[in-house]
Amino acid sequence: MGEWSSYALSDFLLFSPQTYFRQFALINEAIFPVPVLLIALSLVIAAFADGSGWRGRAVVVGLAILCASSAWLFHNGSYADINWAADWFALGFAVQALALLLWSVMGKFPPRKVALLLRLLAAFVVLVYPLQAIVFGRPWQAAEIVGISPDATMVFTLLVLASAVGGWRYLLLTIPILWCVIGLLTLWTMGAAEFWSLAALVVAAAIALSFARAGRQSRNDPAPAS
Amino acid sequence: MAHDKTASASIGRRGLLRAAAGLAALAATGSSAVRAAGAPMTRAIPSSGEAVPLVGLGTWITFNVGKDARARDACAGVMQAFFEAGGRMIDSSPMYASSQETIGYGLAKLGRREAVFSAEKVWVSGVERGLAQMEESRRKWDVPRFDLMQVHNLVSWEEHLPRLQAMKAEGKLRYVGITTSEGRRHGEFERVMAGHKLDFVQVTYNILDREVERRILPLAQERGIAVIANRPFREGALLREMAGKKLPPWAAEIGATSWAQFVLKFIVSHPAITCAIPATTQVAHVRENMAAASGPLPDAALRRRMIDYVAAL
Repeated sequence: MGEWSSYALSDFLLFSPQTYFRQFALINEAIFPVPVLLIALSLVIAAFADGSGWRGRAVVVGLAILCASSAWLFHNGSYADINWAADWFALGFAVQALALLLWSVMGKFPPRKVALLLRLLAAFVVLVYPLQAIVFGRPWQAAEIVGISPDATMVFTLLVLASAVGGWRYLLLTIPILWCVIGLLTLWTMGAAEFWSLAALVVAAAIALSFARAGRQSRNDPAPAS
Repeated sequence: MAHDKTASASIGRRGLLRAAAGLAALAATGSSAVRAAGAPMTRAIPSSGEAVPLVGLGTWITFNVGKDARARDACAGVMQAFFEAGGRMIDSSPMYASSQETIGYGLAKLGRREAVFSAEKVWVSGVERGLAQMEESRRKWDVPRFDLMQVHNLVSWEEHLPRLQAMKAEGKLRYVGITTSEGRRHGEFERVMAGHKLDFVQVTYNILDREVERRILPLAQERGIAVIANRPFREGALLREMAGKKLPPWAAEIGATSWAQFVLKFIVSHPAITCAIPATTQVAHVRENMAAASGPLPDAALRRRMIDYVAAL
């Protein structure tokens, strides 16, 4: 269609905030206790984010599982009912999962340090971010869990990938960054207070990423001649 | 004030159709709303004389609830209140995601497929894809045919209009229309109205968005085209802005007891408007909206006063 330019962003908001956040409650209730398993998997990934060798590969496989489960459970299983663009989002998440799997086979996972801030932020996304449902007056069943909530899943992926090495990581960061933009635009257009919590998290992740990068560079720099 | 004319309680659709000649005369001016006792006021579709209640039901956002059984039942409750208040026209589009399934669920649950005036849209490029989309929409509503099929936001209207007219001639739908919203492509919209046989147009019209008063509404009257007013409350933003502000005392003269009724009465009192389609998720609101289609409507002087009052808020 050549008429896309005549539409405003709000024209693509097809649902109310109540309907959007209700999807999380419906999914969590329908697949319980899978959300608990996803939280456990996410915590293991956060704990072993600095893993080298097979541990590093296992962490990336775990991330792929989380991206795939969000694609399947949220985008394909629920969001597609209220947003006709969700099939494309599911495809994007599936591509991310495949790229992660490919990297788990072909990537290099040398020993490396993961900044404490990154670990704390990753744990925050897994354990505290879901509690915002209660803070914003929604039932706890509507908690946004990593592996279901696309926002939580992609921010978590960003944080874990922050310690990755090699050119691959830039490719792997593309979809999570794109999703953060889409997620923020969706929440903003809905006028949801959750916009601010996601925005704060994305900013914190960006700061943590830049610190991690700076730390890596300083370790790689040769010591000054005395 | 233009008080509604109370007709015999026995006036129904068939009766009105039999009196088509008389109603066609009313429709030519488009200015007269008719009300059977206990029923909402109606206005005639110019091309047929069929009466349509002045207030219908939109489904944008509100009926897009996915597979949520609780929310679907709530929407069915809204539909039940709508039909009980004498409502008929429900409008949707393939663009509105699961809204069509929600309507289908409600119609089946309430057993009101015969009561509804089904207004749908085609929103895709290409005749074949359009036909497939319309059939998919019909399947979701689970109705034998649509009463009104509109080309959504003029998407590929050159392709769709001839096909829709052919479908109307074959009895596969009853009326053909085009839509736009929020002032999009009004120039092209006018050209289509002027150059093609249309039963309906759908445009954005409310007490703040009145651009269509200048050319499109007069053209609709001149061409004998029914007009559906969408976004009467600017997706609720208008009512949120007015919340907490007092209705003027003279709102009682037209029986408006809320801002929603104030705004709806303004819209449907324009002689070119056939039906306004507010959307809601609440039974109380649909009753309040339907009540706007009863009691007196503002005349030209009062409409001017309403505009000035809202502008000054």
